[in-house]
Amino acid sequence: MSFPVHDAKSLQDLKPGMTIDFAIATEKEASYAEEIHVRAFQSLENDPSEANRLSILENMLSDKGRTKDALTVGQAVPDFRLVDQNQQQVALSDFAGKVVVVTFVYVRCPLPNYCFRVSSNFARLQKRFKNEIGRDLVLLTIIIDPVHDQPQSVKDYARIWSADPKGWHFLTGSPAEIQQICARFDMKYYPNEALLVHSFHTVVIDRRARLAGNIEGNDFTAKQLGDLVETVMADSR
Amino acid sequence: MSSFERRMKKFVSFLVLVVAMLPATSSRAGERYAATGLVLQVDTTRQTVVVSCESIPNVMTQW
Repeated sequence: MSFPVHDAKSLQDLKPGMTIDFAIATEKEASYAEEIHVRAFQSLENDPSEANRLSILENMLSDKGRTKDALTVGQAVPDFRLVDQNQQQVALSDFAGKVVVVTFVYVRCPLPNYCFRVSSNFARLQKRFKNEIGRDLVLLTIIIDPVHDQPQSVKDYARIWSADPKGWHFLTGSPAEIQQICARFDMKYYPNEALLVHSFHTVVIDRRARLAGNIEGNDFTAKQLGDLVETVMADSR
Repeated sequence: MSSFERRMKKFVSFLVLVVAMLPATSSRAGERYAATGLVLQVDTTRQTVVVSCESIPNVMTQW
């Protein structure tokens, strides 16, 4: 839904993929968006110890908690090459001219609201855009724990989600390669006992391989993600 | 029915129509609703923002 604003300054810091709280003010001719505030992702607050550890990690990585090499909306996404669930080499540049959505999971994540939810969002994208998948839209799930998530478990994980191999790739590589790619999208993770503590990022890349949006957190719905994908697909035709 | 009565009837019908239309055009003017959504598009030139919102009770269904 499109809202006009009275003051262009209120849009200055907004980027696609941000979650905002705002007021809808109805006037005679239109409804305006006012008091726009970007909502910070805070779901790790449910576990203060994890939040604290992640905060320490973030501070180690940069002064402002943002990875130094993280891309901003509009920047070109550097190419990368990894291996998918069928042991095929896959490069971002293979999908030039298509919209690409990227997210990050690890296979043995036990929390239903974390990696499972992220993958569920992609399954719903695959269903919503069933005519575009592979042809006009590509989904990339990057495995952030390649040491433990071996090729067979990645293949099994893809099968659980009924991933169409033409349009939904589960990608692994060396830990260094994965780390480098994650840093570009401000994705952070580190081992914590048998599990990983990690942030959440779902990234939309436009047809010209530019970052179109980077959604932080897991509070958004699959429909909202789909709406963003649809907008980017329409925008960059 | 005389000419005067016909004119009066037309006038009253017109008045009823105008009164009936007033709430439809201005009943929600001046109201405010809290909303949350995902930003899809920002156009600083046109001063618009496109947002994918969760439903807002009594508002979204009317739009």
